[in-house]
Amino acid sequence: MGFWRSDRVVRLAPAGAVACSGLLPLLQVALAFSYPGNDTRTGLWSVAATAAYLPLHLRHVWYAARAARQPAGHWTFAAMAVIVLAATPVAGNMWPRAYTSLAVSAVLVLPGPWAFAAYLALVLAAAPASLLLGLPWNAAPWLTLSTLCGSGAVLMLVWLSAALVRLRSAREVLAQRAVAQERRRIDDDLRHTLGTALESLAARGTRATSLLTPLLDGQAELGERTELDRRAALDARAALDRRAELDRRRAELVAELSRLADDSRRTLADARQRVRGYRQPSLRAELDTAAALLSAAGIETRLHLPRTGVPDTIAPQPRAALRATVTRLLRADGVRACTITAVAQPGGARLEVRTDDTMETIDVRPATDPTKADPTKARTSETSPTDTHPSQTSPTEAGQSQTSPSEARS
Amino acid sequence: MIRVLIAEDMHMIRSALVALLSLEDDMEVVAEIERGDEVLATALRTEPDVAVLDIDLPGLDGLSAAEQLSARLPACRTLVLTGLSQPGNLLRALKVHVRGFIVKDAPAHALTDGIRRIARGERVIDPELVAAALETGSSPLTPRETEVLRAAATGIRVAQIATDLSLSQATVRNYLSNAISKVGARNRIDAIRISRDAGWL
Repeated sequence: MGFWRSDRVVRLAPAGAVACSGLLPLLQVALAFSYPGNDTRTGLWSVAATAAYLPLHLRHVWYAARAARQPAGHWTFAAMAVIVLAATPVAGNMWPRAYTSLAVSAVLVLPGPWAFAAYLALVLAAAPASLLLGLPWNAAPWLTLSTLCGSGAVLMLVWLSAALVRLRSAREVLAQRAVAQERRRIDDDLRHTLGTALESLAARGTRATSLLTPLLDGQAELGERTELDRRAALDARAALDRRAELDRRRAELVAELSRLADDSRRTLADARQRVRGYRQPSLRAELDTAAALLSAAGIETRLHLPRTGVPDTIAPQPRAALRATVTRLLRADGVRACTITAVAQPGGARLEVRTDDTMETIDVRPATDPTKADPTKARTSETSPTDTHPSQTSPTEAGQSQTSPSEARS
Repeated sequence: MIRVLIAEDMHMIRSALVALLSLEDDMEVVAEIERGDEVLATALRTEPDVAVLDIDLPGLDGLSAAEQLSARLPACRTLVLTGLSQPGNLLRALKVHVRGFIVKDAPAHALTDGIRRIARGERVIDPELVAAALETGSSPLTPRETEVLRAAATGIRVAQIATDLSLSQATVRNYLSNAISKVGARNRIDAIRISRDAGWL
């Protein structure tokens, strides 16, 4: 079945069309030797004429089957027409069958209306020409039919091959466009989030530098002035004021650098979250891993999934809610057992995470387009241990709620 | 006073950690070592409350050292310093009763705060590590496949792996082949790389 892979078929289709186009003229050569009313002389003329026009014809078919424009196509068609028509009187009474190839080339090379006119003229002329060359009258209709069917079959093959090639190139264009669109989206995404954060970092760095420079200058100046003041026994009041000012600036600088470090870490976390947002595992894989992590942490975990399966993708908010729940359970001490039950619902599923004394529900909606999800929003639905109260129902942005078992039963 | 043991192979980082923890009034660094195979003996001698272990230690990796500590000195709680690049390690860490798992680029106060919380009996796990572990997924390899792949990662021949693990060469090849297809690798080297990056080895 590997042979029928679409890319290989597309690659071979033009060659197949050319091969089939070459078969009809070869048959024509055989008839020029053997058909009643023909002899060796007509056969040799037929061989010579076919050898002259066939490369031109195959060239037309080759370009057309690859949906490519024929370079100097009109000239090669004209040459072919001259050869085929000129050989008619000398190549035997079956030679008008060669009009099939000429008709095909006419359709492939000439512009619209001229192509059809030339095609019809050649197909219709084949039978009268044969009659004039001595073909029995009752064979003429068959020759017309043969010309019609032969040209139709070759044109169909060429059209099919060209359609496949166009389809493949259209698919490549679509893929390239999708890649370009995705790159543009990621670019916008990064510019609006990380770009802004990095600009802020740069601004803070600049401000820290501007605070540092006068501080260092001031310290040097203070050293000199203190020495001068001491020598001159002047009032040290001014020096003290200056020192206080420098202390204030130093504190400001420390605060600024501290904010810079915090911003840097936040930006790094944002970058990681954003990268994670582009690569989301399936809900099933995430649930399996969550169960494995909880079990490894000593929490006896059972996973119940519906027979109908769970959605393959998961929207970012419920994903964040699930991760927050897993993190909370991993951090919590004293949780002994956990049951994660997925209940199928129309258009999604509901996850019930039941621990010793609490039950959380997370409404899972499939992600419509995971790549368009904003992973930073996932953070907002994280719940810390202090946020959870066994007897309290607290729906969050993520559709997450936490209830005690009694409330859940009621 | 929280007694802390530090195991980190990079001298500069180890010194920085010691200096950092020495600034805390309620912490005392009782031992600093650079090899994983020295952790247990040192811990038995100094009896620390918390062992801060780097995940990649020469001699014995941090998680194996943590496993030994958990078995021989359960009173000593372990905190592992790791990177986000090997999220699969979280699963193994939880299995060997590691109480804390902190990324190396976390702020300094996260480490001191984490040590205090672990000393109180809490578990400290970075939410980013949990998210990364959930994304990576649990290891698709069976314990035997992991063992064979780990042996292959040392560069020894199939015949030697078979001898070391008491298996036939054909069985070793089968395990390796299964491992390659399970992790979606192109060949053995690729499978080792993927599994190592994910923290499954």
